[in-house]
Amino acid sequence: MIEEKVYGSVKETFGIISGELEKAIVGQKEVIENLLIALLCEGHVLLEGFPGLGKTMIVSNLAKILDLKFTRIQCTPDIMPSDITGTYIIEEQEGRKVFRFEKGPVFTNILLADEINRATPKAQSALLEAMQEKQVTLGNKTYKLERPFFVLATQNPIEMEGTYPLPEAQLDRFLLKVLVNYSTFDEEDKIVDIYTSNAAQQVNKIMDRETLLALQKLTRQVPIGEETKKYVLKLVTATRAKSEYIEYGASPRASIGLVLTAKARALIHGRNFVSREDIKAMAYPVMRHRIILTFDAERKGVSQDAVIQDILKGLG
Amino acid sequence: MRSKQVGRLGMYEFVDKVKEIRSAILRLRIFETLLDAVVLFLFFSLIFLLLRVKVTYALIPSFIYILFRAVKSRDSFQMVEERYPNFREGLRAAYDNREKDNIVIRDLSDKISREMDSVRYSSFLNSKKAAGKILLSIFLAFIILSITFKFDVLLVKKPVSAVEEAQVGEALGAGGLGESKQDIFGAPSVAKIEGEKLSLELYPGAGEIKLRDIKERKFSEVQHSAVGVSPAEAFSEDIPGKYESIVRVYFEKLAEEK
Repeated sequence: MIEEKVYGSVKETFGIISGELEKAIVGQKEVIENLLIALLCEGHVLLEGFPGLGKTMIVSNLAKILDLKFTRIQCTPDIMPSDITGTYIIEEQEGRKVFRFEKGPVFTNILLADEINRATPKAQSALLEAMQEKQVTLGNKTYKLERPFFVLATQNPIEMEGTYPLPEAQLDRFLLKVLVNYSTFDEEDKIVDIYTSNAAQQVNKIMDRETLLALQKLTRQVPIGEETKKYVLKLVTATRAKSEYIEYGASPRASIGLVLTAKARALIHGRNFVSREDIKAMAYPVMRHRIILTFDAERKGVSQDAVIQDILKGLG
Repeated sequence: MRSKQVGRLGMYEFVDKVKEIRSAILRLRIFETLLDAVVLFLFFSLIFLLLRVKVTYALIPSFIYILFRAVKSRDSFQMVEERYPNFREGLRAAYDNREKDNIVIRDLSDKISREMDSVRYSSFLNSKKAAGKILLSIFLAFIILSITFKFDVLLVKKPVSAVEEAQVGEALGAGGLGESKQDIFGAPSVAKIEGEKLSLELYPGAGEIKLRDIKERKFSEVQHSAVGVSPAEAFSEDIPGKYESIVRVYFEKLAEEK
């Protein structure tokens, strides 16, 4: 069975993928790990960071390494839902005019929706069904999306003018919200060297689609102890308790996401069980976009991460 | 990672080992609890003895402690994880998912089974602590015995010599010469007459004391008579005159004989 074969070398495989990505991407190890985790969980990622930090580059290189189809949508205020999902076009066949469905960029394995908050709510919601149900409905017909289907949306934390912030319901559909930060001095030194020389950085295919699907199956098989599971539930429900800084807590999707991503993290790290360390590490990307802060918190400049850190400290 | 299959559904090898370890931990916990209870009992016995409170009351703290330990029993997995950090979380995850069967759980169970061989039951007992508690209980028992013995001896007049001691012992019905200087009198008992406690200590070796027809003494009220002064009467011998000469001669002769 492919699963047994894949399981035997899972840690090494992810080591090789990370190594291959490092050829093109310097630093951003946490971002890369979180992207791989989301891939294993069949979840979607919202990448937030300033322009020029390599968000698009990470995604396109990942698609190359995993030998997956990759498409990119540059979201703008005039983008239409049909620009994402596809549309019917009239075609002449044997003298007759017939409607033919022209698939949109959503029919891919990895979809990069760049600056998603610039798209109108109508266009944003066109992605909703695709993300949640992994299918597209046009008229009376439903088209299944090919597995794996992975949406990576980016947004810029600055320049909020003329944007349409994603509603909470749509934010909740993203498994992770990953923050892309500036590189360190040394990392930037390497970036400058790599991209100012003639040698173009090419990444190689490491994994095929079947292997990725097998890994997705294995992720769900990683066992979690009852105590660790209870810890997750305590953590998520703690966000719903009356607090000075939290207006609304995380949904049950956060509990599901936390357990699933912790399983994937354990697998990537070569562990065959979920530990609290995994939960603590995944609490930030899983919950930061699911917690709505109070006005008081925003006024005082308290971030979601600070609130999560506080809850984690309280739980011990 | 290994993918060797070590068991079938719900029958992983490590489950039996976990059960064995849990039962060993339970037995050791019972031993520890009882040892602690004994130390507590002896400690409170000593205090109550000094305070002249009934010693049987010392059982109460011991019982409370046993109940507390029974209610607040520690998780055996936690104890294993404390002593063997390599089992941290993995053992629980494997045990909680023992009913499931997939490649990851099989691998984890295999790893746990192999590592379980290194678990020694003795590691769950702090031998130094246990030895300390045993020594403490011996010490406390010795103090209690010493105090009890000293009190008993003080209550009985100590014989001057061994011969006297033997004589006293013999008189009281106990062993004679050559016997050890143990408390031959045994524990004193408090005599009760008509339900009233008397401050009379009777030793078993002192023989029997028969109390016959001892009845409560009844006192009757006596009327006070008036206290007056009466003149004292002078002593006079009432000897008839005709015998006066005979008596005189008798005493004179008596004086001469002397």
